[in-house]
Amino acid sequence: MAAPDRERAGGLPDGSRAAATARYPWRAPHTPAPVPAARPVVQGRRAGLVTRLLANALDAGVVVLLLAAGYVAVAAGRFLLDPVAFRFPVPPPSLLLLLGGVVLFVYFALAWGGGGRTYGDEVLGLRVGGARGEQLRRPRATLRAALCVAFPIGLLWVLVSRRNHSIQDAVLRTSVVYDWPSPDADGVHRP
Amino acid sequence: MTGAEPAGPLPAVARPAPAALPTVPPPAGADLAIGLAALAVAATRAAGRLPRTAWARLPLPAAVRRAARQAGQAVAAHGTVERGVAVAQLRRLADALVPRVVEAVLTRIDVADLVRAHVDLDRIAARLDVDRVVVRVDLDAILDRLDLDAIAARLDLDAVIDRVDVDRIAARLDLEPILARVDVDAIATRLDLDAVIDRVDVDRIAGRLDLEPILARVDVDAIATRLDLDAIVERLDVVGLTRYVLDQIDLSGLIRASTGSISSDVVRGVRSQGADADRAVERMVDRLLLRHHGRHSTNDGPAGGTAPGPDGAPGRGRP
Repeated sequence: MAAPDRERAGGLPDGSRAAATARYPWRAPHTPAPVPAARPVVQGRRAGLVTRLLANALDAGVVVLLLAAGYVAVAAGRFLLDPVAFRFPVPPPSLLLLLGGVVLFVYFALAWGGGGRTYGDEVLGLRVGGARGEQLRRPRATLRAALCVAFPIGLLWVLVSRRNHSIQDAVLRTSVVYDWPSPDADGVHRP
Repeated sequence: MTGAEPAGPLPAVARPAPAALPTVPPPAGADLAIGLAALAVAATRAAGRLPRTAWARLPLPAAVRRAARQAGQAVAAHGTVERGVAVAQLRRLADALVPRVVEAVLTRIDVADLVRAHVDLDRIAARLDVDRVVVRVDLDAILDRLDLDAIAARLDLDAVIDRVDVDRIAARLDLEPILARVDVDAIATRLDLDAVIDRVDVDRIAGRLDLEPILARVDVDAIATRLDLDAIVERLDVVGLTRYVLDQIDLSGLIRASTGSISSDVVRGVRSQGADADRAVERMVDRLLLRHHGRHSTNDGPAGGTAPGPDGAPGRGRP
């Protein structure tokens, strides 16, 4: 209905069109919503520190959730085994840190060796690959995971690296690039 | 016609001189008989001129006078009888002779030529008072004797109509008095409208109609004011219509798509803003380190996956 109305309003002289618009607001000329200015394409560029930190924070949250799930599982197991003497386990911080490191290593190694993305990478639109952006093989992914867990401070090298490389990237010739489907690339929007 | 004679005497009509008759010598015996008959006639006339008083004065005896009177009466009676017989014979003779004579004469004479040669028909017609003639004509009687149907059947009406300039006639018609005398109700009562409408090609008429001026005169607002919209809505299957419309626009699919696009918009916003934050931090650090050429942050070779290159081409970096 809107299109014929607009056509009818468009066929009127200016005075009549103004009067018609005052009486029938839906016949006012349609003004399309403002289109945001085209953003520079970043896909394929190596990611900076902020997005990688955010992705790592999300991954840390995932690891915490996994640890919590493990803790709940262990507690439930203990309760089932000896409900009378059951108390919530209180693991020492060193054990937690160790478990966290192990879980993080496994999680990184599986994710980067599989699709090149952890959950944090997925959300931030990052992908871990080789120097040319190719898919990492398992050994290099495992090595990278170990280095990242053992020496996380190496990430800060991204700040000063001209190629946005962390220490691990520089050592293993890997890279982290922006990689999310662009809605402008093929006109189809994929979340 | 008898009253149409002119009042004055007829003027002398020029007549041709009679042709000279051929001279035939009469027979001598006939001349002698004609002379004797003429003498007898003259003597009779002289005797007739004798006055009755002279007869009365004659010295005759009464018996002779009586006998003579009786004899005269007898002779007169006989003459009366003879006259009647002669008249009757003459009538029969005339009845037998006149038709034959007239026929013989007419066969020898061309009456039409005679009339044309000797009668000035134009002058006669000029002196006719046609108005008086027309006044005395009984038109009703004439019309009663006319077979109008037969005349109409022989008329070539198409040819007549082709020669009539209807536009001129129509332009000269004063329709007002004619219409004032027309009883339209009576005509309408006698019209068989069904038959008329059956012969009308309504499609052709509708095709020739210019609807724009008609619609310009229609007060649609007034019509809309008189519309009973409630009755219309009551007859509508609103529920079915709504269901059909909802099926057509796939409202549920639309809601799903819009929800998904909202979440994807949030994710895309986070990614874009993260990238912007990266660039901002890089620029700040580069400024602190007094770098003037920025960073080489693209990959060295072709990238895998779906990552497009820096120029937007998917997945291909610079070598």
